[in-house]
Amino acid sequence: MGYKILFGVLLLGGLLISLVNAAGSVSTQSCWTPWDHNSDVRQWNQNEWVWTGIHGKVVVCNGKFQRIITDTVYGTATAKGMEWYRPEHRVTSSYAYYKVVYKRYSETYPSTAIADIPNYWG
Amino acid sequence: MKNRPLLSLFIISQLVTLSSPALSSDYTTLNMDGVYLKYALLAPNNTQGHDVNIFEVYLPRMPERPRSLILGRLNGTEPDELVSLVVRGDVFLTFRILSIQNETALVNTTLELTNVWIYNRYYLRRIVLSTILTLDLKRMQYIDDNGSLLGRPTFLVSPVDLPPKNSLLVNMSGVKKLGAITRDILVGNVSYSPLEDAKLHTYYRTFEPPYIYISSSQVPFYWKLSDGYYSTTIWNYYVYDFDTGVLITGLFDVTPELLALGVINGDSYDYLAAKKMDELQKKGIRHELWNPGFNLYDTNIKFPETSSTATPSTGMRYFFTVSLVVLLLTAISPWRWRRG
Repeated sequence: MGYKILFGVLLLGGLLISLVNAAGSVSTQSCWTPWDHNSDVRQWNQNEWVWTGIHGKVVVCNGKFQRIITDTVYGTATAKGMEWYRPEHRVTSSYAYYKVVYKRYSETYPSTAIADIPNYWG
Repeated sequence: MKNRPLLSLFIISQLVTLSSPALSSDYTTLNMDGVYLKYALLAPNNTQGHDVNIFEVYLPRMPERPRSLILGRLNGTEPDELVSLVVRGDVFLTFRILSIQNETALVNTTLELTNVWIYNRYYLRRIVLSTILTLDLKRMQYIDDNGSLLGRPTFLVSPVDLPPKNSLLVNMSGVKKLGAITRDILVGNVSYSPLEDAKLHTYYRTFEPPYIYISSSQVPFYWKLSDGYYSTTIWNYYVYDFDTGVLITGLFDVTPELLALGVINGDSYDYLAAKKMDELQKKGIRHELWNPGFNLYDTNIKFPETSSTATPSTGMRYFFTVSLVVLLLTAISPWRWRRG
């Protein structure tokens, strides 16, 4: 009889412990929110450059990218000394980029610079 | 003095004969039924990571098959997402006139993207988007089922009836209904002068000036999405063949055809053409150009041999010879009459 009670207690205890463990592993799954960044800078001289850069936190679980935390994202898409340039941005939880289409005076046609995340954690 | 009316009559008749066939008859005799025009953005073999074309596609507006392809590749994506397709391979845009009836044509547009990375991380070897639009040939505008104007066809203008400044190029009310803040894209500049001293290379053939150059108004675009935003400035330009009005090359990110495919904003940078242009410049070759936009790649149109190509046709040569003889006769005739 005593053995049966002991066996029951052990079984219940084991179940309880494994449940706690399972719950713990869900909540403490290896997720973290590192910073990710990227840039595409082109400089010909002090007064002629194009700069795209982006910086933001991403959620990474078990080493795998989950999403971008959009309100941490900041970026820049700017240029100096160009005939014209047009910035383009996208900031969403799945993908974010800052892009510039620019036209140098010395070149016949425009070119593109782009910085996007996820980059290191993609 | 007596001959002045005769001379002016001759000049006027010559002007009329010179201008009319090149402009009107070639265009009207351009048989549009079954015509196809294929444009390409080609990627050089050693494409760098940054050399991309990004197509922002809105899933609910996409044709069924490519939408399922994207949704199948993305787990847990909202079905109403604006998806970035980052393209590192070749892009082909094909227009095909399926049928013509009562001054309307059915136009099939197909966009083929290769070497595609959805959000720059999920790979697709190839994705094809295709749809059919109704084109009102008289107004040169696509129309929807209610007869509302959607915008001008990208691949063709009528050389004798060029679009006036500030007329509608792309109707943006469809994306405005989705919540985007933007304006209709209008015709900005219409001109014959850009690139007037340069041959223009494409993958299909080399064109000669003059060209019909059309640029759009600059239009801001801002779309607040459920989890962020997308913002850009839209500006298109197109270069058409002077004789036929067929598109030779162009940079256009937003067109009625692309919108009908669910492409809210595309890219149109031809990296191979840009490379070829660099090579021409390095060799010091002037008066020859490659435009780094969608370039004519293939077509079944037979381009007429007219002012855009090197020599005048045999008929025109005879005409010039006869004209010269008549001119000489009119010049020497007073002298003969005076003698008589």
